[in-house]
Amino acid sequence: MTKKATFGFFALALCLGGALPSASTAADKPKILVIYPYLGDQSFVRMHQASETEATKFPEIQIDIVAGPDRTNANYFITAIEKAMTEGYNVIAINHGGAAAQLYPALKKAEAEGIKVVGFDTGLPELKGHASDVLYDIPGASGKAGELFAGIVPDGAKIGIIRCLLGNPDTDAFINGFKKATEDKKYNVVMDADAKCDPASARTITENMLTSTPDLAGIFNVFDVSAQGSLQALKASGSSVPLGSIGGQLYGAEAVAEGGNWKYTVPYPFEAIGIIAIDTAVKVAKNEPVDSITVVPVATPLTPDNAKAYADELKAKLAAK
Amino acid sequence: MSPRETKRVLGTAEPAIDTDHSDGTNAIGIRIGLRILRTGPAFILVALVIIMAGLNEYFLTVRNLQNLFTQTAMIATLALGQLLVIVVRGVDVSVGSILGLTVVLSGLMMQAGFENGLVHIAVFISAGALFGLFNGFMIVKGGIPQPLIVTVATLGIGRGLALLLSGGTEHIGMTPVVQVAGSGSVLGIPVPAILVGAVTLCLAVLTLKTLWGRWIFAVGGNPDVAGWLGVPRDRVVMSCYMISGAMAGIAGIIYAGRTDAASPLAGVGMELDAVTAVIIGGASLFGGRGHIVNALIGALIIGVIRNGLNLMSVSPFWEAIAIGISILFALELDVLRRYLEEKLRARAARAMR
Repeated sequence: MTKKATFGFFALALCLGGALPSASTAADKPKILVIYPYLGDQSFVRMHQASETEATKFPEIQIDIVAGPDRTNANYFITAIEKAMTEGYNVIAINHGGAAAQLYPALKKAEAEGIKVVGFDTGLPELKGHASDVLYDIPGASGKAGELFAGIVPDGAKIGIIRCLLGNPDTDAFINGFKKATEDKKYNVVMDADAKCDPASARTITENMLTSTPDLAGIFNVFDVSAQGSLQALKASGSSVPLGSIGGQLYGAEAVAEGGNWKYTVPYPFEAIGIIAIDTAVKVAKNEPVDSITVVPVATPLTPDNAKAYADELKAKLAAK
Repeated sequence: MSPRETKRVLGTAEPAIDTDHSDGTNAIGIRIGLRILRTGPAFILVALVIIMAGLNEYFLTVRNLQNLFTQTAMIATLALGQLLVIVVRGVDVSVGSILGLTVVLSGLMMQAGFENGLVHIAVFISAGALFGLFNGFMIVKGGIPQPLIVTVATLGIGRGLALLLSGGTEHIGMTPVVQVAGSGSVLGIPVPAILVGAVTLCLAVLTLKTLWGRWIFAVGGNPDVAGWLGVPRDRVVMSCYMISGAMAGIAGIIYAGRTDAASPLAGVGMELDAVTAVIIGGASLFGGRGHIVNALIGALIIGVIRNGLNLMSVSPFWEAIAIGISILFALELDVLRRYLEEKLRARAARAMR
């Protein structure tokens, strides 16, 4: 073996060693594998950070937290589930980011090997009999988003809807909840488009909405990450069309506090879900009783009245980390 | 169209088809025919614009045209760089990741309180160029002659670095110079469109009026012969990847300015749009053939399709299918154009005999 190849081999081994969770824990500790889809935006990062902090409270349990390359990469999830089976984990806590259907065979196999499964953020409704689901109150949150929208946009007006990720069950549930909450207003949805959670795509869609519908009266952009793009389009065109979203991310709260087009955002309780997921998985690992479903309640929506205080508090929290 | 004409278009007409014309008329007709066919992508673009204008009353409004140019600017910039790489028989699928990485670097500078706009611009372009140079270096000097594999690997490295450096979170609020570059306008012309125009002009001069421009087509046409003739083909290839990276950096400026945000996921999937634009623009994936203006037109074709469908509120479930079909249609039109071009060239050769 040449010197270069030897160096390359050791460098690769070092990289892999750094990327994988440590296996140097006591063999008798119960083991939990917490699987996140990816860490590509503030929502997942905040949830992940909360889980990591919470996990340090349970030194008697080995809790390994991993994250994948993108939101719905089923292959990554299946590999992680297989890792849990190979390495003798007792509990899998999984946030599947919308890839649930592809994971059921692997999860059932894991359950057949005695591993208990906890779903969090996005549940596992078809995987009947698993230990627990920690869910956000999507109907409640999207209903609240619809109510606020209805309070701003008049009956029968033309509105646009922007999705975050086409075909994602979460996004669909939020959109359906929003439509249900606003059905009495008889809005004319002139465009229902997919921004793929990309602010640049959302800006493009919003620009086209404003062009094709000069009398547009409101935009519901399902998540803050893409609503940021809509806001830029509205600002650039000098439009007064109001914008509503779900998320409660820092920049969303700051934009709402400024009192411009972005009228509200319904906070997504990322930290609460990340913490409760760990607590539930720990209880399951200790064979303590847990509820089959834990619903994290809807947080207070952010409007120009309360968004600044929320943003300041969140900024301080993020800076502390 | 008569049955005889139909037969000719489909390529089933008899070979001896020029006997009823004089040589002089033939030569002029063939020259005009070739000239028209070389502008094939432009014809496709014009046809699409007419169709979209017929389907939506807002398509040809000044406001929408401004939007269209701005919305196409990122793909166009990436496509212009991609064209150079494709001309030298390469491909660069890492440009989306390079875009994301440069955006994150600018976001980190903002977080650190460093807001000098010109330095930000320099970082966007030089970081992109360096990454592109690394791609070229790995392909040429690293002994990995498969550009697709190398740039797939660096696509992952670039995106991973962007996520790692940003901690996975977005930074909101870019420096004013970047905001203007992505969102501003001068006399009603969007700044991103002006940027694309300037870049197109520079690259057109480089490729059409300089020795380096002749070298890239020589290397793309036949690398071995180019090498025997003394063309520094390794440096030519590396320079093309470096320019492609720099173009990704410029696209990053536009992205960051448009969204006023630095997202580590910026540019995901844009590499495919860039390659598609270049191919629709008539470049050959086998190298040696392509034109800067046609690459720009290829990007505009994609932009017109997306913008038009969006204006018509095509359901998101159908939009992806419609875009795919439209692109295939555009490519098939190009295949037909090339077929006719070859026929006319053959006829021109016979006329010269």
